[in-house]
Amino acid sequence: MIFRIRFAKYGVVKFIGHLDVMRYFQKAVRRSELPIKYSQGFNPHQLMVFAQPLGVGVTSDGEYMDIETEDVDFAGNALSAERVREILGGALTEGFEIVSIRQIPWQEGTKHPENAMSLVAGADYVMSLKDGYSLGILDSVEQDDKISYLKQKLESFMGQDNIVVCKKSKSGEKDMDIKPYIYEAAVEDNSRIPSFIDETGVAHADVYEPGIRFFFSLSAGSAVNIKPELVLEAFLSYCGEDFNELMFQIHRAQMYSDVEQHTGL
Amino acid sequence: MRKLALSDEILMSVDKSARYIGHEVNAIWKDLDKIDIRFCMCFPDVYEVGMSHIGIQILYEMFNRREDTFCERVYSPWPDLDKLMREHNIPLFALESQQPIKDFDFLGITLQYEMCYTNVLQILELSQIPIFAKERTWEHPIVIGGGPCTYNPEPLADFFDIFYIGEGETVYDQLLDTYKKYRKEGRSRHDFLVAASQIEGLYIPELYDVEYNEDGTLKSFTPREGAPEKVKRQVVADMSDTVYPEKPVVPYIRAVQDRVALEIQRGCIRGCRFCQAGMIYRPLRERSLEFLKKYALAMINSTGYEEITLCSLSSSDYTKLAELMDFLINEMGKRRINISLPSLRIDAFSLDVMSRVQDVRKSSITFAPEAGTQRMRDIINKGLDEETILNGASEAFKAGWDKVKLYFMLGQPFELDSDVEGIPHLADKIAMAFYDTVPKSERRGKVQVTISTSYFVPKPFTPFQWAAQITPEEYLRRKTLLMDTLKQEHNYKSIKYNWHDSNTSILEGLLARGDRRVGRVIYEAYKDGCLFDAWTDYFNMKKWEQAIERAGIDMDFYTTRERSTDELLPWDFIDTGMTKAFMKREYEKARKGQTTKNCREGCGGCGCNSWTTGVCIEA
Repeated sequence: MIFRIRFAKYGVVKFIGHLDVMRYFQKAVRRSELPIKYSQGFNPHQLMVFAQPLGVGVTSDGEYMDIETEDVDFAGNALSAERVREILGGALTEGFEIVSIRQIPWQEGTKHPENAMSLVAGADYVMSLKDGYSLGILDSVEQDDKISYLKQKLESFMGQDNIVVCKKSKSGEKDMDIKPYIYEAAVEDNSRIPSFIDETGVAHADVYEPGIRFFFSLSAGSAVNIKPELVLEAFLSYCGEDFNELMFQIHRAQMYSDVEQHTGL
Repeated sequence: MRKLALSDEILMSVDKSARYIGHEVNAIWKDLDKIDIRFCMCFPDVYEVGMSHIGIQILYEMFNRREDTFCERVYSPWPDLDKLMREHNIPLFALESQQPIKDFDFLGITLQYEMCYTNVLQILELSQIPIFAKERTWEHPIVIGGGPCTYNPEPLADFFDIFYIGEGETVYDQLLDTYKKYRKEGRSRHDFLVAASQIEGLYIPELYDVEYNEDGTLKSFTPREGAPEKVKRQVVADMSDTVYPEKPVVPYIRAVQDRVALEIQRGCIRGCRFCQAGMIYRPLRERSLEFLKKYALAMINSTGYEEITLCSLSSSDYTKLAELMDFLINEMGKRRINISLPSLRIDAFSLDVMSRVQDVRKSSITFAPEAGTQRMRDIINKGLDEETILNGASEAFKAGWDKVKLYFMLGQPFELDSDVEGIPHLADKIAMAFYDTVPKSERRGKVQVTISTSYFVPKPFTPFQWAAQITPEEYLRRKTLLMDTLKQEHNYKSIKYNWHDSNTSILEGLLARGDRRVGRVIYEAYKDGCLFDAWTDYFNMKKWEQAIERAGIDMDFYTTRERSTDELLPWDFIDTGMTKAFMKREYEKARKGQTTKNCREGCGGCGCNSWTTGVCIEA
């Protein structure tokens, strides 16, 4: 049986890197006695696939992993999404939480369905200005007008024909037009979220004093992966503001496979 | 979830920030309002090293079983964070509560190796606790040291309020109860320390006066205010009726020992004359099979580790090893848990067990002959002969292994050039055994024999405690002699040679057998920037040499000088249970190349039978 687990990562464990998160879940599975399946060979590993790594320092309500299990638990009872949630959920510690689980339809012996990793096409992010930081462009704007000022700026930023940024990769730097890969962009205060973001996606997003939150829906996955800080940096530089990674808390709200439908994996 | 001591900005700018966030699986949290004593346990090295230490996990469990005590942990901040903490004046904090250690009642520091001494000073300074014990008041925690290096605590005497000599499971309750009483009654810190000196096993350095002779040797070592003349090492009598963690803390990041550790026994019967651990943990005491089975399963279930390892000085000497292995192979096999087996003597039994639990093609077989000739192995009382080594190697080759690691020491007492030359000769014979044993058709290339040599450092409470350490120049000469001899060997292309750096070993020699005056060197070196000296990338011999000069210390006096067996040694005030007469006798027998039986073959009369436990009372 294959189960797709959506989980949240928040609080102090945001400082744990992706490889360690994988190791954390492997241990949690062993503690929980979930009847996970193992690969063949002298050093068998758990059949567990993560959709996409999450950067160190980033929180999330939209992480996904697939696990492949036996059909029954150790007590001989048939496994279900509800039961997996019970077993595995009980072994997780503060900062990791199962949001939802669903079973992926699959007949053993037939071709494997596509896994979470290969399905990822897009992701939603929240970027909140942290305590102790302010934006210079808002210095002369009245408190009540700040969000509407930023909304105007963001609209004209998104109204450009193209948004060219310098994208760094392993092979070096190159200029790239990222506009086609920004599906949505919005800015709000702490009291509301834009319609393309669902409530569940911000459940564990930290809320900060300045009350300035940017929301982006971006291309993600193996084809074109756009990091939210790249977009925000482009926007702020468009406004004539310097960007510093430490100014914003990044939170991944959701990952999805279908850009049009905008539903979770 | 608790607020972290460090800001996001700092955590995002340092390497491996997960070292500093606490909150690990099985970490303990207590309501601070219901706590009388806050104890911070420290391993003065980086998190990944410190989290691998089983002793801290035992004490963490023990302290936290007390309802009135909350024991937390701290490790050395890596240099990147060290710099930021100083810049921003952030006091060092404990991982669990994330609160400053300076507000704790106790700071316990385990001293596992000499090269962590500057890290001890870093811990104190970053905690904003005065480095020198004499400057501390009730405003500061009681700083207590433990671990193998406390068998000569003198170089650190100025920095600690108390040293706990021996195994931690015995008298901590007494100490904490005394502390509570003295605090409640409003007594002075000094009065408390005087009271602590009356607890067996506790050494309070400020209560002892030291005088030196003109030649620099110790003249007298005199207790004051009723402190005992001899501080008695603490020993756990029954290893199956004592505290052990069922839920060890599991780090998020990969620790050096990324597995469950099961301490199967304490002590060693072998009596190798160079080995401090083999002497100071006597007598050998086994844990019962039932105890080990229970804790193995409990720890695996509570941690989720995928590997378990047996801990002991010589696992092959555990009398019920076969039964234990059957149990583990069966139970761990079901759970897909790997078993790792360090410190096994290579024989038919161990090869059989090893081939069942590890990939023969990938792993290597390790021998620690420690010396290349039988003459020299007799001098050090290694109890391992060439025939046993060659037979073991042949058996291993038959079973499919083709990598062999060999560990030796250079510079042990009475070593001759012929003994040094014996090392590559032995390696060559092992390589030869491979080609004789394994037919050409079954070989997967050449056999790989790796020789490693370390530079022998004489340690307190061993029969070699009086011996001269050889000079670094002499070590390098012997290393070169070994290498030149190796090149003449028939199979030299199958043999690799690694050697240990000479600088750290000579410094280790100074710190291991130093007296109180050596503390100045540690302080000077630290103040000049020495830190993480156990890490090759950070070790700076030049700075240490300058510190030695500034402190006015004669290095040779402490390292390359042979002591008279009549000399008063800085650590003589400790009563380990082993008699000086035994050590002298062993030193004399070494000189004559005579061996001593291991504890099971016959009692060597070391004196530790006074505890009437373990191997000393085996039927």
